[in-house]
Amino acid sequence: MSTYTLLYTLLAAAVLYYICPLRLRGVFLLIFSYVLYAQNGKQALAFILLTTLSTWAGALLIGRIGARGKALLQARRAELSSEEKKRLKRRTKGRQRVVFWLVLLLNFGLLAVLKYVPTLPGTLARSLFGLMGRADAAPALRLFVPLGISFYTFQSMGYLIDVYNGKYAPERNPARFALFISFFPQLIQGPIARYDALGPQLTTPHRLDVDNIRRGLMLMLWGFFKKKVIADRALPMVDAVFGNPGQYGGAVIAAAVLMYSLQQYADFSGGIDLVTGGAELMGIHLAPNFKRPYFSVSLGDFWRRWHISLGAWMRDYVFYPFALTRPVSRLSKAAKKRFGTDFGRALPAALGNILVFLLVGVWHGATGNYVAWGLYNGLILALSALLEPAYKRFGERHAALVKGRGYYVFRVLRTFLIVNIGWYFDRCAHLSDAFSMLLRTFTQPMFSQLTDGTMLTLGVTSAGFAILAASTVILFAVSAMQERGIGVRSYVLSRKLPVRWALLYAMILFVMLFYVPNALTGFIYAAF
Amino acid sequence: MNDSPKKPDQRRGWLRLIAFFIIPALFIFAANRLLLQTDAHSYYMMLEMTQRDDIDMALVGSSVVAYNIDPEVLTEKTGLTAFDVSVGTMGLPSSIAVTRQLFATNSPQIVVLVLDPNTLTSPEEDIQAQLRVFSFIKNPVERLTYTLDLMMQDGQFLDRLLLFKSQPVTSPADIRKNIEIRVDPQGYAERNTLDEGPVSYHGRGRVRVNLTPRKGKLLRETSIRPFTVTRQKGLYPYTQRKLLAFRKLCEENGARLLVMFGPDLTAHRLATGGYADKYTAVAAFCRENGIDFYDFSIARPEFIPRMDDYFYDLYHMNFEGSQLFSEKLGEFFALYLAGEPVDQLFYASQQDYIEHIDFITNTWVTGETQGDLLVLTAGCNTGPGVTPEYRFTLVTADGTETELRGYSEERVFSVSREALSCGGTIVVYARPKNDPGQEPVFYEYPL
Repeated sequence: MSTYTLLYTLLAAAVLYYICPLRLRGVFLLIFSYVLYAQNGKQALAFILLTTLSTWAGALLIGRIGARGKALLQARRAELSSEEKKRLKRRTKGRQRVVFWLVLLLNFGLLAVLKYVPTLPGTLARSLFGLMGRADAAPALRLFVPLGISFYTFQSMGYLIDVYNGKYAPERNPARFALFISFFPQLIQGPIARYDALGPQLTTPHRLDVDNIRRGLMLMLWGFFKKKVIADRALPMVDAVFGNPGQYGGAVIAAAVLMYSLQQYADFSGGIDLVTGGAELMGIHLAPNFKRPYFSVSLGDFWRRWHISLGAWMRDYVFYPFALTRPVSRLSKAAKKRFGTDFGRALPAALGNILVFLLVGVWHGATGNYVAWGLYNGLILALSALLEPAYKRFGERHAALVKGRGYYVFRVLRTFLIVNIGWYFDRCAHLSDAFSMLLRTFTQPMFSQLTDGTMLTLGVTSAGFAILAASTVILFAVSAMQERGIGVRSYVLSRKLPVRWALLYAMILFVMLFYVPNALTGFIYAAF
Repeated sequence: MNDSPKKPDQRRGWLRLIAFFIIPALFIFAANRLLLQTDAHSYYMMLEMTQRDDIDMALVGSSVVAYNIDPEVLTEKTGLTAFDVSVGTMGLPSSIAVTRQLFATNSPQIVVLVLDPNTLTSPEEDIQAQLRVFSFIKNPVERLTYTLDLMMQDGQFLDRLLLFKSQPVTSPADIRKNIEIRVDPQGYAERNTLDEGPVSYHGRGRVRVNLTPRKGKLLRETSIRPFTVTRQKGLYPYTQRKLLAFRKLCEENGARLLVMFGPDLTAHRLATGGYADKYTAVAAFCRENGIDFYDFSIARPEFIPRMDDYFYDLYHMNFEGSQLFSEKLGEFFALYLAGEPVDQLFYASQQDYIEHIDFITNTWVTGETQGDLLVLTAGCNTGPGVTPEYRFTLVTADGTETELRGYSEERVFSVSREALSCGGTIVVYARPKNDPGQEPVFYEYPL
């Protein structure tokens, strides 16, 4: 889905939402989401329905088994011994577990097959025809990968885990649950919502409110600026250098990596701002997915600010369950005895981080570069966790230094550097490219390419670089204000009308004049 | 962008919000008039068309109409006042919009929709056509529906709204010109005639190209080799809907509709995968829907001789070519309007026409280094009944031509790189095996 299509779909949905009678607004959202999703292909609809129905029914069954167990326990409380009560509880949990794992395996299995082995039917067909000695005649079959499958699978499985853990009761109404899974703004690239936060908002009819409209439109303008002025303008240079890295020296490669930093952030967060603003038009508030990640002071901090909903999902449903398992606890205890308390205490977090980032890497794609990128992040975070006591001691000894502005800037720059090294792996086409590009960056900088006109052959004109520079200054200024706790939309809206309008008109004019035309580009994260 | 809630007064808030958007709307409105480069040909054509009320025969289409058809010749031959309703890159959506403008002041007897195969190879219409047509659509509702239709078709919503972005003015003189055109269109046209220069406007929507033919050079330099230009076989549903809408528009205004294709550069026709399919699909569609259709690209040579010598690019003919074709077109219309039979002037089908191509239009060669050898592979465009044979020569910098291999059906020829160390150009010649007397075509491959 291109930026334009998303933009106009969100605006059209908001108009139609308020045209609908109040009590039918939830129904409208469900129908609209499904109709829109069907544009991606009828097969896509079948897959999302399968996930929705299996999760809804599974969660309901888990709830019912739990309720039945509770009722039985209540009814026979007087006659059962404490051992029998425990057994009954275990039996109930065991039944719930069977349903839970079945639904979990079905959905993650489906995701794994569709995402990682879409060529499976083709391979099977070739083997089958091969048996008949006619492998060449085998049809080139390939599985259809539905739009946003990673996002809706993670969202629905998060719901299932929450219900299984008794965090909240299962939703009885299948239509309400279907809307939670299919709500179109978040379907393309998130954020991955939690049912208790989003579900009630979707089914509560919202009245037309001018404040929601103007705040939503402001956020959409900001998202459009990030996507169409910055990300789409930086894209050709990133593609050119990463597409043919052997042709460029280290300095140009480093410039392209920095450009990718900017492009990816503007693309992803711009898309999220668009959908968050679009949802706000309808009075629905999505969870934030970015919190100025390039102001992070450590890699851990970065991942708490970048793609927040995925990080939180991994933290709640992978990291903690893993770190709190018995084998990890035993390992931690053993490590405490052998290597000391600090090490033993940090070990579960270190291992959890490696696992989480390995999964995040594979979530991006089952290729060497993504796995390496995940491992790179996981290992640095693991090392950070293990070195945490040392950092603490350093901080206590040099309190004045650590609290100073200079040290803060140093930490931000250090984190930025670490993140950017990771981007080499994230963006390259092959793992070997990442290593050769890194090597080139440090050993063959060829600084002359920065000034000999090479930079102007990468798809960005000198005017384009100037626009990118100006846009980055705007982006930085707004982010710095937010980092200081200033709500920029509230700040603008609280100014006197002439100032307010002048600021907004300046932004609209800037976007109108400098957005990249004739580019029906989609969003990077829609591919994941 | 963090926020903390501060509820405004609803009524005042709405009024301010509406007022807020009026200024950008006005800016876009003004920018699309003043900051957008005005296409001179479209401007003169539209101005003249809307000022006239005597047009009997309207030829609607892209630049192929303006460049290749002289309405004055048609008028001479048919007695009907002909006019080229032509806008560069115009496809069906813009053709409908412009023809509506035509009907506002004229009641033509016949409307000839001249299709350009290039506008049928995708359902979307080039934004350039909208740039040229948009500001001439007088009715605001028509302008809105026309724009929305284009937006929905290709998804270029914002680009089609902010037209000035696509072709902005480049100097204050451009802005001054736009203002003059808006304030005093007639005066501007009188002060700035466009009847001189290599490509000039000559009234009645006609553009005259005063360039000499350069067929051989064109065919060699443009590398007209097999390629596919279309994503789908047959006609797109959108194209079909637009053809029916065009028919309805003509019916509502009492005009007879004829759909046609003009002549093609034969090499281009043979090389372009999908063109023949589009032509056949249009013919079938028109037949099914009761629309008169004639394909002048498959006219018999006894009626229209081979026009290749007159093309100065892949689509457009020079002045001499346009005169010759217009005369033939006039003869056709004289017969057609009198109810005389005209089918005998054309081949029965695309296939029939292609089978009758007994010459080679152009040749080319590609090279690949394999060890010490340079492997050259020649190719050519020709009819299915022709067996080509190729000859390879080496022309050194001083002009000496040495034969490397004589004529042979074998397309591939390998030569040691050492033998070519002197540099120069490899020239490949191609001729039909069954008619070696034909002048061979050639291609130069620089070493």
